[in-house]
Amino acid sequence: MKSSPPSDSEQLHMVLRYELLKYLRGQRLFGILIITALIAWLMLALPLLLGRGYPSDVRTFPSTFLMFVSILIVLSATFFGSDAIVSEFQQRTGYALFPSPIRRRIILLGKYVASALSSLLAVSLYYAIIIVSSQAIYGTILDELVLSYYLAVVYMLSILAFAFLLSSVMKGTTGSAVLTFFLFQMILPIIDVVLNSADIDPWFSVTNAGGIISSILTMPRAMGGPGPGGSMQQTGAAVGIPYPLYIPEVLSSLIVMINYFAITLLAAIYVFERREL
Amino acid sequence: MYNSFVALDNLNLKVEGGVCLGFLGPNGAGKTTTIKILTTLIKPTSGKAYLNGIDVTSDPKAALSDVGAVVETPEFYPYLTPNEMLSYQGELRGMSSNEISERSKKVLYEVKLTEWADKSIGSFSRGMKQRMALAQALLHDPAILILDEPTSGLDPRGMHEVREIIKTLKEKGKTVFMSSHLLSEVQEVCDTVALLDKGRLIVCDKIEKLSKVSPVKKIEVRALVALTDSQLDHICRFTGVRSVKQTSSQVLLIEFEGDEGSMAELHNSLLGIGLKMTSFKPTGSDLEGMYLEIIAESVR
Repeated sequence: MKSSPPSDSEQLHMVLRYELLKYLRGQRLFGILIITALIAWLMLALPLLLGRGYPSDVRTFPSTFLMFVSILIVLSATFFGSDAIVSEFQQRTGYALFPSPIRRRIILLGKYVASALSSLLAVSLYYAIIIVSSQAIYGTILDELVLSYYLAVVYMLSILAFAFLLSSVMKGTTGSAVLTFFLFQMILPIIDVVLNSADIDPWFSVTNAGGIISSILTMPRAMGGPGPGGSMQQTGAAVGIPYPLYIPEVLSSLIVMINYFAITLLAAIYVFERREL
Repeated sequence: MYNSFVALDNLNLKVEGGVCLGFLGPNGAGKTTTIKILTTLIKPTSGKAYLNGIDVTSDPKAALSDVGAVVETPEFYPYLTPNEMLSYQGELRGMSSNEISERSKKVLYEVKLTEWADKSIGSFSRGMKQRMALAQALLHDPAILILDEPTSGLDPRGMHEVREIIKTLKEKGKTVFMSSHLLSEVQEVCDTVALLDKGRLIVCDKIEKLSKVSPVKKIEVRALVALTDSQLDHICRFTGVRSVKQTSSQVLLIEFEGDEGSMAELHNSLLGIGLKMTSFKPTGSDLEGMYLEIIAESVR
């Protein structure tokens, strides 16, 4: 029986389907959707349960929601991206998959698309809840909210690509998951704050660029700030330690995120294709 | 090459179609490295490897399209069943759903996993995973099979069944490239042997030819009653006897050099000295003598 292997795009679709099956059977997809719904429910229910009601300003309500989008994206990257490649090595499943007539880059891209679709589902659900709630409570949907959704999708793609790079490099699934979560949730944000306090514009940081997702609703969008990233605003005054805060701009943030996406995804492919089992 | 360690040293080995080749060598000889290069799990620092005349490094997709491989004991996605795993593999190889369905049934029957076809692989034992590995290697009925220790992890019955499968493949004219530590297994199923040591190819030839390299055989003799010193003395002086080792009062291990006719004479001589033999059995394979002899020479 001599059959020719399907085209790369057909094989990518196959890898994608079986990867989605993994998320479904492993309850990962269900888990992230539950977390998404739980965050949204807390945001909606807590003000009412505490008897404080929703803010009167139509801008404040969604901006509170948007503060948690980046956490959701980092969780998605941890759930779907952090072990996607490293597990093939650590759990030895690569011994069955790699001797098949399929290019490694197609395996990686198929897995990437599956994790992007799963993450997109969670992010879209979250934004759908915000948009429906905004409409129900205030009778309007801000244009910036829709723009924030598109920016969140680009940020998600870049964080996932970075997670795939870590997964291609790391030796173990646990280490990869821990590093993915803490890198985007703690380490890079801390570096952003430190650079800000040292009066250095962290325009090149992907987490700083991701800040545009929520700041688009709350911060003035002035072009041409002090650095290439965006505008500067004095802050920290509330605690008596004023320090400059560089607010990312939409365009520069997009460029930074797209660059991170392209560079880290290509690097992930490069490493994965050369990694030995 | 791993850092400064040379895993394979100028290895030049060509396997003709339809040959069942046993790939032998001590631990660290480079057998698994060779198999991993052929199956694209690692890339050589220099040199080329071809399958069906196609370079595995430059065009792995085409090179592996008509190849089935079992490398070490692979793991499978625990959330899939054997049927689903074979379906995945079949789709990646461009098989139609009908072909996948028919072949899956056949190969799962061959490896005795039919009743587990729809159970999650996550619950499988090591031996069952090894059978599963063989099933996915056979799924597309490939012209070339690369098997790294194919009976590893199997019980004696499983080992026998796998050997029978390999013999059938050989009869069908498939090319089998098989590494194994079990010399008797290689002797039973393969027709050609390649011996590797320290990354170098020491010898590659037909088993019949190589067996003649070492004419020394080990024969285990069991007697009904304990052997006397006089009988032992006689045995040591028989033609062809190199050494005699008494492993218990009634059991002897004789190292003997000679052909089948000389062995028959030895048998008669033992009876001639009044030994009440209950068994006269050559032990170890012919290949074992050759292997030890050649490896010993290689060390020197």
